[in-house]
Amino acid sequence: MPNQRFLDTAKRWMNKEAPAKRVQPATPISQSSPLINNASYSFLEGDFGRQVLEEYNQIASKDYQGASALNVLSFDDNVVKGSNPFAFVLLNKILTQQKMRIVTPADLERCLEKGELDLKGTYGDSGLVLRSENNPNEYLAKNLALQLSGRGYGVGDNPVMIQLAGLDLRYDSSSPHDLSFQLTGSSQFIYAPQLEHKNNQKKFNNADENGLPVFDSGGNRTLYTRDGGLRRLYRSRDLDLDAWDDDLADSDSYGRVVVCAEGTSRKK
Amino acid sequence: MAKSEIKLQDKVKGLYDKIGSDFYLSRDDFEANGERYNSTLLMGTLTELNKGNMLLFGEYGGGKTTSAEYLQSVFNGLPLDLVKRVAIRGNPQLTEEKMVGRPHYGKMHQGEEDVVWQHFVQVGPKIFDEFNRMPESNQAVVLNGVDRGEWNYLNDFISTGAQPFFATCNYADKGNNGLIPPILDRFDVAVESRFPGVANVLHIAQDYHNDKDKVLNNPELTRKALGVLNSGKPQAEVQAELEGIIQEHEKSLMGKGFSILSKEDKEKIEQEVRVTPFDRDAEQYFAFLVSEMNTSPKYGQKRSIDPVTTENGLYLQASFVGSGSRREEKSIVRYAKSLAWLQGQDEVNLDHVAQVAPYVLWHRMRWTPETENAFKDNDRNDPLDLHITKSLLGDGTGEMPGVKKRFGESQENYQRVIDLAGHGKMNEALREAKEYSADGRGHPIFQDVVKDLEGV
Repeated sequence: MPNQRFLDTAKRWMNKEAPAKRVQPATPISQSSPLINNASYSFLEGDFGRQVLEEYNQIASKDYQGASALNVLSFDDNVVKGSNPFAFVLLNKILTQQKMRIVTPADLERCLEKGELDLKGTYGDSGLVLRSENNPNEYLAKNLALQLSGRGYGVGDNPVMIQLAGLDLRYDSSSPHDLSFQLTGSSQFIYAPQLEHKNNQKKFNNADENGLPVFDSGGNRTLYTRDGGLRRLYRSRDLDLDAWDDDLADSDSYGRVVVCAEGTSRKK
Repeated sequence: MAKSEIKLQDKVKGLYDKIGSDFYLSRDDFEANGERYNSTLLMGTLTELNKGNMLLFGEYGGGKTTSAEYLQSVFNGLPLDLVKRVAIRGNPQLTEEKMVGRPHYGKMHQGEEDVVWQHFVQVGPKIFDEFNRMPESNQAVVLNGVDRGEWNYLNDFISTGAQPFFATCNYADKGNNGLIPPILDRFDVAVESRFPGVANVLHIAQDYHNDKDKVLNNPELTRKALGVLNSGKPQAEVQAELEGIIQEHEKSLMGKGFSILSKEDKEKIEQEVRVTPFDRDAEQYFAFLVSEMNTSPKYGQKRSIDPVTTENGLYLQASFVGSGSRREEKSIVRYAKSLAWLQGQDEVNLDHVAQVAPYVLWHRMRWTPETENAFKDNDRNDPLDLHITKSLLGDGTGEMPGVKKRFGESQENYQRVIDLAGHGKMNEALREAKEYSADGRGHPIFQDVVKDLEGV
């Protein structure tokens, strides 16, 4: 039996007309966790970077049957190089044991604002964008859509942006990449209408608290985005935001892992 | 829409202006609906209208006590020297006997039990200076009396009804005690009495012996009042004679250009304030604030004994230790209504609530170290706790968005659920509320609505 006081309040506050049936899926507005003011970021580098990469390679070989999509990171010039969503999810699992994590889209924007790292000339993944259960990446798209529907999120109208930090990785021989993404209790995902195809090549300078662009025709950064399936979300070498790329396994030596170290982790 | 009858508002504003221009010189630091005020004087005025409890923080000699004395004197028609005489100054040795009442020693020797009530208790409007120099147990004695307007000692009691109460506190030093959360929760609002600016200080500094206060003093009536208070007469007689003294003092004040609030005026104001409704935005923002302070998807509700977690997102609940209280919610309503009334508005609007709420909450909030760290290096005009409270109840920052920002983002969804429920579409309302709740990551208001709709 509903609380009568709530119903009385609803009667008092309601508009005259009943609301029209919703044509868009519900858009829950969630509040992402904050960064602490003194947050600092660093590339995965030095002895620590080398150790993490060694552990990463061991886990990739042992737990993920040496899946090729994970065999993309290298240690060169004293820094870990390479970036794709699979590798970053696994890296994040290792880093969280050290009370660190890979950066989120919001972290990357904050890092750019603070100017702590020179990110220009490098790229790095931070999320996935799910727009439909179709291609590209139909298998993984369907898999993620199913998991999201269990959490009340419909897929189809507005793109869903899923942060890599907070995802888990599963060996999955049915997947074209032998890997699939798993939502966890700490996964962060939101509807992201900014990433609709109609916003392709729109300019921006700054981002909102979710790391999504705040469009500004006078901006000097560009969003690249398009419809369909499951795509990557990464900061490109020109500091643009790319939600266009559908090659989830691709990686090259311009890729860099940006890490939030202890003291910069989300508040507990 | 402005009320057609604004005479009482004019009287109150006249008193506010008089204190601000002649006695407590200060700078405006508070704005609501385009009107600017000094927060100490405004909250003090609203405390007088509400018969509330107000805490004044500040530096030594920063005007905490004097502002309270002027407010109590001017709004209640009490000679300023009487207000000063009946106020209590906190010290660690203060006992109930020194504050509330003591045995009548003469009668005690004759085997009779009787109580001599202290002046502090007998005079309605009260000031407790340096409140935090008193141990916590005695702080509670005072606040219990103030809350109920009833004072007990031995087997006797007197009642003065609800009355405005001001307590001053220096910032923490070796000579004072902390104020524990249950004590802080008893204060409706808190303000900081601030540096008034160089020009005002140059003027204040010329007032060698508080000469300006002479206009509010009345030594003859004060002596008369003290005689009445010491008379040992029944309380009803004491109160009636005090009322006569007040009226006599008010007449002299009227002759000096002060407007006077009669007992009837105050009753009328109280009635008008009480019936001032909230408009929809104001009440919904209030609902969002209450939900953020009291709900926890992880632990069922917010509790001081549970850890603070950001697992479900950075809502206000994730920024402080403890929870909301029913007292603070009542304080927000009363003070927002009083401000709306003072501004001559028919309804409490969003600005009234949003501007008043930080002053109701900042002394009660126990921000987590992480929250304090996020703000401690900010440029600011307010004490840190008030600065954080204003920010997080408002739009917040890029890193830590505030309640008002989230209200703006989620109000449309909330209104949909309200409309569906209001039009009897319970299943749809419940389904959408669950979707917006997003397994505890959506706004806490939706978790609360789900519970209401499910009747759990």
